[in-house]
Amino acid sequence: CTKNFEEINTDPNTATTVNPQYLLSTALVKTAYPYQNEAFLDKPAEAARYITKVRNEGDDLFGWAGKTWDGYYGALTYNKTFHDLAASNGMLQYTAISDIIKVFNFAYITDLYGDIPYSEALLSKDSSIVHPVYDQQEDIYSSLLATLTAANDTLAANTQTIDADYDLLYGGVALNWRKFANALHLRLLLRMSKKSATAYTEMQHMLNNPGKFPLFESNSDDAGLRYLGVNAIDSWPGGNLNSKATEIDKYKPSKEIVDTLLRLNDPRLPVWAAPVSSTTGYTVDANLYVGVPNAISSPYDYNGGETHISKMAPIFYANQSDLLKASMMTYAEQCFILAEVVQAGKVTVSGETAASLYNKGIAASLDAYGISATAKAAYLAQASVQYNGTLAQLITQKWIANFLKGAEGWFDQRRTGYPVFVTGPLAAISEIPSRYKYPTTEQSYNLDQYNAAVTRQGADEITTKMWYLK
Amino acid sequence: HTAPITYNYVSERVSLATALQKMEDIFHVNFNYNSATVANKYVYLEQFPQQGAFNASKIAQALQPLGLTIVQLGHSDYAIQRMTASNTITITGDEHKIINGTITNDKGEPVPGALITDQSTNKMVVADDQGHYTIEVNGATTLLIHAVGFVNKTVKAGNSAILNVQLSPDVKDLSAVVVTALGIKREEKALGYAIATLDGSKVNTVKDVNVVNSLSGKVAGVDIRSASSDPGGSVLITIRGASSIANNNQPLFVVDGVPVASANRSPNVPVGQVTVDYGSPISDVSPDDIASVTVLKGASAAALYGSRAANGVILITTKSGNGKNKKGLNVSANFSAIYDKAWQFPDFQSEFGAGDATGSVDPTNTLSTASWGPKLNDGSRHIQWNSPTDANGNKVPTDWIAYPDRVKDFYETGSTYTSNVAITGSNFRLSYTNLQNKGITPNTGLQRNNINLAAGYELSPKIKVTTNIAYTNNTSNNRPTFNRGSSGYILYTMPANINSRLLKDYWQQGQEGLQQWSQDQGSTDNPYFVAYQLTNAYNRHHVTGNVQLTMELAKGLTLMGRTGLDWYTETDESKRAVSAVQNPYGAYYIGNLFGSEQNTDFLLTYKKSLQHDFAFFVSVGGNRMDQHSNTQSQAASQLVMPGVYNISNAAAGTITNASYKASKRINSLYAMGELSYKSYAFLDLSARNDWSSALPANHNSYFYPSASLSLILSDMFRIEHSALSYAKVRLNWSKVGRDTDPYSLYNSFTFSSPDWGDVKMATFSTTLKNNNLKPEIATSYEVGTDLKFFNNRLGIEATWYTTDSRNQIIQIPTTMASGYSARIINAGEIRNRGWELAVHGTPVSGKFIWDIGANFTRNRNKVIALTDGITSYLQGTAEGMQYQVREGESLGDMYGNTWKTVPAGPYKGKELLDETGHSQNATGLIRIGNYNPDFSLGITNTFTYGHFTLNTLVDYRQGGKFFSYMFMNLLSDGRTKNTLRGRDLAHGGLAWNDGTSDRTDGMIEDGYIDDGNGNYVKNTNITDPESFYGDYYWKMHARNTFSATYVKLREVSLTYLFSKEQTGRLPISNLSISLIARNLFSWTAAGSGYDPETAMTIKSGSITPGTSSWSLPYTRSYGVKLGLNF
Repeated sequence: CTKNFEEINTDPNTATTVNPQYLLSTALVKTAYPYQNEAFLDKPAEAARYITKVRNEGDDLFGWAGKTWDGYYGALTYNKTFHDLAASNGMLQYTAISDIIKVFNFAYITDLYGDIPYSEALLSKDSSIVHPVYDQQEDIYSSLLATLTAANDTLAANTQTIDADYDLLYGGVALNWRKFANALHLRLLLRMSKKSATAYTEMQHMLNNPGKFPLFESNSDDAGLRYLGVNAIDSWPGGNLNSKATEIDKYKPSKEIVDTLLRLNDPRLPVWAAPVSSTTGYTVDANLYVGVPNAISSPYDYNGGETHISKMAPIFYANQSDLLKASMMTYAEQCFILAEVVQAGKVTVSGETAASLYNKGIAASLDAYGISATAKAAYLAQASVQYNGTLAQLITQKWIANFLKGAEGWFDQRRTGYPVFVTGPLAAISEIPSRYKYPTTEQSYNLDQYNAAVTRQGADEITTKMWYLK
Repeated sequence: HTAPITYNYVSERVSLATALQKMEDIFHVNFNYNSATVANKYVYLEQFPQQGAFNASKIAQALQPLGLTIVQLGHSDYAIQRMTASNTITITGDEHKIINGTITNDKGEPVPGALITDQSTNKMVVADDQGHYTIEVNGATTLLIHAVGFVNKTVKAGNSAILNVQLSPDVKDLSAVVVTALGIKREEKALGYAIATLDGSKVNTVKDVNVVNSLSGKVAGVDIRSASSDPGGSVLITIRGASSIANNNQPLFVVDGVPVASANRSPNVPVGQVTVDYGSPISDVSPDDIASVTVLKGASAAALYGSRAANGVILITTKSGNGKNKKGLNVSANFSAIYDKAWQFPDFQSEFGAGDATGSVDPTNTLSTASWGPKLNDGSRHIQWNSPTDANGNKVPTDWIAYPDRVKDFYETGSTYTSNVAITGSNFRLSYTNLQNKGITPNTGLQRNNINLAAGYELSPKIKVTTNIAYTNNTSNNRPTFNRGSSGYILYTMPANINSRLLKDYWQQGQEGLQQWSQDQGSTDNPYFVAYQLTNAYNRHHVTGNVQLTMELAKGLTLMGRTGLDWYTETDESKRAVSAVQNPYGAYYIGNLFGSEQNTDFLLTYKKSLQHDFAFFVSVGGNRMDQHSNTQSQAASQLVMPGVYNISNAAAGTITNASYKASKRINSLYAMGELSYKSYAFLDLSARNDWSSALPANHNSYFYPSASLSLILSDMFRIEHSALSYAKVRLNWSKVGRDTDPYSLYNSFTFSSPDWGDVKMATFSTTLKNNNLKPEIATSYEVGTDLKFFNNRLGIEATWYTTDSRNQIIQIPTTMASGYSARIINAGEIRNRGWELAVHGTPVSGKFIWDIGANFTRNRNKVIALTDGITSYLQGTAEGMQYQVREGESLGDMYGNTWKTVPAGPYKGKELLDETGHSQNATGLIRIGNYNPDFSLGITNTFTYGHFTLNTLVDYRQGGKFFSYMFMNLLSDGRTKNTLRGRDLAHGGLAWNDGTSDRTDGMIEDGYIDDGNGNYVKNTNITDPESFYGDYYWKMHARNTFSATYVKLREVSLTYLFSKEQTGRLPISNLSISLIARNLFSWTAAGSGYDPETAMTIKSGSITPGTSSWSLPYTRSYGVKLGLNF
């Protein structure tokens, strides 16, 4: 009675295995685009005071509920499959790239939540582990850093070709991947520097061996995935292929960023924000660019309503713009990381000072947005911009440069306290949040491990400090 | 008093004409009769002699009950005549005394043809067509009165010359024959489980486009919900509750013994934004072709149909030929017209227009999509959506006027015209049905052409071939759409100052075909543009057919062989014109679907009567089912040339391709048998084994048995009481196994489409498949009774059942941190337990007849267990509402946001607001309700008086909840009347200052605030209406959830049947005309405009009951039906 059953139940639509590069493209797209999507449309944009939502303003009010992490772990699942296929074919160039993508994602998750499943994560298929333990952030960080070092070493030694078509980030140039790994390494070391005695020494070790640890050298080294603007899956989240204009209209530049840019005569302001459509009839803010304060009552009515509030600039409504990539990490950020540690006197960089690194960071950001050389020089020459040796100024410029890039603006703020933000009269808490709450589904699907993590780390609240912030 | 009859295969009930024809054939005699004399009279063949010499008196005996008699005209010529006093056969005897009288039934009506026997002399007379009789007897004797269908009665003949006798109906002899599993006809009394049968007239008087809708309220245990008021929309059916967490819980449909395509297609978002519901392929069955519908409830009745029958089976038997001996052709025709009128709308407010605030600091801010703007009809002028521009390009304020009919104006009167012609001959029936439907949404509708052929041929007396073939073409140029972006959504959310009539010309002047003109240019589509330029067409060719061969191999041994095919192919085509908000460059989608299922089966049956009143039959059979499906689609999200809808017109790189093929086979062997004793005890046993290709090799065979017992207590204990006429008890136990979808065993890779530029991306499911799956098993028990009282004038059927579904094949969710979002495993146990009660009676009888029928359904669902480590399972979400399955709770539970409450003190339990006086969500989601009713009740009344028949159906559903996202949305943007409160001083608004300006639209949320010292004080913070309604309602699912109780007068029909006398010389008969109406009256606990029945979320891939999203308005329908025979 069961003749031909195996043949009938053999899926004709799918393949049992594929070449690894087909998953390299998937892993990159699934990592970079959601990361940028969140940076623009989700909580990090409000926490970093780039965006004020004038309707459905829940995120602005910091009544943050548990946040799903399915997207990040989903990307990691593709990445792990990419890694496993590459490993079984002895393709070390791909296992190394996969490791870098893995670190990028895991670091982002632990930066958002604190303790997370790591050592037992992604093992449902291999080992039937469906209740993975939450590892301590401290342990995760040390493992991530070791993974980056190994990936950098592997790529340095490896001569196997990376398929240029499928390496959407760097077109098959292994050196660029090493630069990304090392820049990311610096980002993570800075993040944990308050808690880790070895962070600065490790940084110094890397900086002392530039041949072994190549770093970003210009904007062209940035880890950013471009948008094609052809289909929804390859388009900027604010474009009409992904969002309705009325939806994006709810996203206004925050008063904090607009006022800062106005104060500094920043040439990036018109690139990012649109002038108000009516200059008469405003109530409180006479400027041509008006940002909306976060967490106020009736934000849509602020300053007299819609026509007296700046919209986002047209590039944010487009499906594709040369100025916007799904940005994972930039050369400008690396400059600011180094400027901060040099300023603090913890690390030295050959041939650079904190001021020079600070200026390079600003210049790199201005270049990235197509600001002319004259405008750039004029900007840098202003007294308010000239390096003054304060952390507040340095982080403020880094914050501007990181406009809608990842969650970096928020992460720096919670780490350094700069820039000083107003929480807003309707905010549910009187500070900027420190973390995401764990996904609510964890209490249904992984309760014991969740409870263990909460007991160790502290209440599952957005104000709880994770290891490196304690 | 009668010889034992075979209970399993009751002899055929045929028309009298057929029986007479048979007599002519057997005995080579000739009967002369007027066709009107024999019309509409039916007999059982066994009442007539089958062999031997021709015996006229035996025929006379059979004719007596019909009020007819036989008169010899010549050697082998006879006349069949109406019985009159003159032709009454008198049987000779002594002449001593004459007794006269009338024989009547329990209703006092005459019983023509009753046989009156003088027991002392065996002399017999027959009552005439008025029930009168005259008999001569020898003094005191006893008369035995016998009439078919009545209990024999003996009366003493005393001195009286008049003796009137009333007879009681013999319920036993009227035992109904029903179609059961595998198409086997059986006596209802032999069945050990509940079965419901509806005569074809119950579904084709008030015709529904989808025949399934016609079952609503008519069968106990069956829950039917239309996804929308559109006649062509999907219909969800559950029989005895949902039993499976992951499967769709829809029953199996079987037409003439052959399973047909599952009831529902998943709604789809072909391209762009709107959701399209393509309806159910089962609606391709034309109600006019239906002879009867039988509902086999639950696993018990369905054990023989295998896996898919676990949710019950709906058996549809189509009409067939007249029978072998009927000469000539019978042509019948009928036509019906039904008009649908959009009826219930939410209570839209028309007092305030577009804007973000009544007291808005910017009086020109009147272009918002929200309805918080300035007061309308007060003589003011404001800038608005269609303001002209002055020389400087500035918009000019225009009159600020309300258009209260802005929504109603858009909808048209829907219509459905159904025409059917059927030609019936002795061994065939050919029927053609045409249906033309126009929806209430402009430019929507469907057309259906259906040809149905049923034919049979006797190759020899022992070999018979029958076939049924139906072809249906179902097309629509445009289906109504749902959810966001649909015309309904746009209209409902349109501020009151917009005149929708002006939008009819939806192209911008001078840019026809290139740029739409909309009330919210660039952000929202014009609703007419949606209706006419964003179309979703389909064209489905559907063929169902079967060929069946029955052979009598030996006495009592028959073999049936059958193969049936259900085959359909469908092309879906969606167009999006240039300038659509979601697809500014236009878009196009074309999809092809193919599905087929072939079932080939055989059944060998042996039946025999044994000594000592035993009889049995046993059948063994086998079935092979092959399913194939194949879909391909291409979507272009951008077109190059406007208006050219061809996939080659796609902008480079924008085509999304998809194709999918699937096959599945199930082989089955089964056996069933019945043992009966004295026609009052029946034991049924069945067993089936399935082999499914979709399950792993080591678990792909599964066996399931069933047993049932039926006892006719009234016969067993010889109860012959006028109060209790019939009593039956039934018991049933059964199991049904269930397999899974093909390809559920191993994970594999696909490529996502569209590509990223020219780069491929491999992907795979994040559900971890399982190569160790076992079949699901549902076990059910059922106990029931059928009782009939007062000579059948009152009948009660009651059933209690419980069904446990174990080993469910479900995708149990796992933390995504494990690498997969779910794994397919066997887990869970769901119990459904309930009562079904059907009562039917005839309270008034005589010239005026009142029949009433009621059915009551109550089902309780309980999640007994999920699996280790999992206590809650997210079945799905709709509009933020979560459908969680929790241990100890029920399927259909809805979880949503609610408000925080004061934890302690005198105000404990009152709403706790935040420091600024705004509502705040409580932590976590709470159970807000379950969408299933506590019980449902359907009541049918039929009043007959002379030529008139009035039929009504009331559908009452008590309990259950539904969450109205539409209510919540309309409220939060100030679109409904319940948002008027607080708008200005006249509506109770408070004077306040928002920090920049003085306003009069202040409101205070009701609740308490923590004053910081551990005390709770009443909130006095003033806020504006938008925040108020946004906070108080928008945040809280609980405040937008309503009781789903409703009472609907679902069907009313008034039929006038013309008599032969009235139609006179016209060559027609059975002329009838009916006035019909649907949903004449409706009462909903939730208030008008929010219909709990169609509270559904129709989104890509699913239809979710319990949460209403953007749908069509509820409709009321009127119409007329005309039927006649030639």
